[in-house]
Amino acid sequence: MDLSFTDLTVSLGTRKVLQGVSAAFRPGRVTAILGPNGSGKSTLVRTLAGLLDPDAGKIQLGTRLLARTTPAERARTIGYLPQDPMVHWDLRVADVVALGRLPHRAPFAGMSAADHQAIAAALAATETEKFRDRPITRLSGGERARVLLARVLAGEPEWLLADEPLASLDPVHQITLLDQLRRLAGEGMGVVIVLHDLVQAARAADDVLLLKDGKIVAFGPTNEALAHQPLREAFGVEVMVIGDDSGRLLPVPIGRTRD
Amino acid sequence: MNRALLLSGLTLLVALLFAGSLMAGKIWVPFEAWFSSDPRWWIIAELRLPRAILGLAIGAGLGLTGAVLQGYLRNPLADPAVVGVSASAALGAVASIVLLAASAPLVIFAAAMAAAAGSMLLLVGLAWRAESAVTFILAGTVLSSLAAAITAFLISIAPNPFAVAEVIDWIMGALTDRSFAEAKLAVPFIALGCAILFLTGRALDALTLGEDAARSLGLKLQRTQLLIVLGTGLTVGASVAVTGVVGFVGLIVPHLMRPLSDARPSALLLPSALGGAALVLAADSLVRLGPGATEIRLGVAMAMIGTPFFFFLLLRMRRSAWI
Repeated sequence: MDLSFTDLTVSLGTRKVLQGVSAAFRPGRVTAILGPNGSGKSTLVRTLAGLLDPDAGKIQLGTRLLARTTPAERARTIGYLPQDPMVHWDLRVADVVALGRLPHRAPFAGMSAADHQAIAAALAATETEKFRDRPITRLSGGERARVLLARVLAGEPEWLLADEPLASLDPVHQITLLDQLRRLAGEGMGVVIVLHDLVQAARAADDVLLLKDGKIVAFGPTNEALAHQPLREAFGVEVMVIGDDSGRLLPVPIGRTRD
Repeated sequence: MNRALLLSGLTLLVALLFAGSLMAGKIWVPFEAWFSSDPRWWIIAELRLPRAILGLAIGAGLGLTGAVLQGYLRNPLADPAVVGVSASAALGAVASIVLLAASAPLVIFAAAMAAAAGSMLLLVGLAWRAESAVTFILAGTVLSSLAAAITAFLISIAPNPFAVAEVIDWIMGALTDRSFAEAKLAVPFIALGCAILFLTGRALDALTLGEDAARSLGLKLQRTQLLIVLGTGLTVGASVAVTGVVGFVGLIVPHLMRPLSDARPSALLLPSALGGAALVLAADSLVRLGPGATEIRLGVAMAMIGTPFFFFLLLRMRRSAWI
């Protein structure tokens, strides 16, 4: 089912961060949200995840209004990976991943066979089984990022919204994580990620949404959205487009646009 | 450590300390004298039993509250004092002593509970809408300081030195001479408060990932906050209302239990309740054993044991961080 929003307006305090944006994201694809700092990227995914209430506009899963779903229903459908990879207590990795099952569990009930199965599958999908009994604080940043992704996957959501999942990862782990997200989209999940890096977005995304000052500059297939003109408009940068071995076009920023 | 083993070990420890609390004192009552016509049995039945029951309930309540607040605020230094309930309940009791010349347990209890309830309402009012724990902790600190200031003011305008002595005696919490009347007043509130606090376990676990992730998991954090304020208010309010302020239990006990339990905040709740009960029962037995006719006040003893212990804990935590 599409995750779509119409005329979405969101304020943080008195500032209108998103000003009447509309788009529809499709499942089975990786959609990257890009834009300069303060353009409303995080606000958009946080609103889609139900963490912020919009002033106006509606968000729909297929034909169902997100505002009409209960928090638990929403949590079972939309998984959210926050930017901050913080885990406050020294939990075991398996316990962190098990938190992803919370929206599926009845009050006061222990974990069911389905819960254990989903946790095992999430650990397997992120190749983190070997850490399962280790305290999370003993892992490296890259390993921890995979465990936190496993936490979201354990909830078996239809949609995965990730806010800058690549921040604080080195290039190898960035590529590993993006490949992982592509694989998930290949299995039918809708993947929406906030990214900063144009090249990484061009590598990983099927669709790109470009934001500037709370408005949409471009939304469409990656090659169209990451072309010269939209990037000039959104970021004020000139890019050199190079092709990689597989024929993908990668925009590399080379300088500022002169007015 | 195995959880079943930990819980049964702690339960056994609490049972032993409960029995010890009945035996220990200026007059030692050996087990042979129990349930007999020996006059010393009356010391147990009339004086030590209500005191041990209160010690058990208050210790469990304070230990549990500490574990819940540390989990909720994700801060290992949090304890019931940060919410301002202890200071407010103490203010209520002091006000009834100074202004109404109250001495009946029921009047002091009612005044303390009313003040605790008032401070909870204020806390909810101040921290409502803001789902962040930071607002909560700030509002609690403000309430705590305000209550302490008004208490100091009341002491300064006390009509006579006897009232001052009574107030100070009361503020330094103790279980001395508590009767069944006070136990009957406090224990139901503490039990209800604990039951409410136990409902927060899952939310505390989810908050390990931060507030955003917890909410994205479908948790209603405002509900969690309300449960915590209500549970803490009932538990700590009722404790302070019968014993005065007994600090450090809520701070220390979760730290003692954390290495024995797994790190999930929900797994820490029951061990902390049992550990708190054991600590207060042990401390309250020890304060009776000092020389002379008087006893060391429990609140004072707790602070004297607690502060060096906590210092030691900090040093150890730092050392492990260096490795």
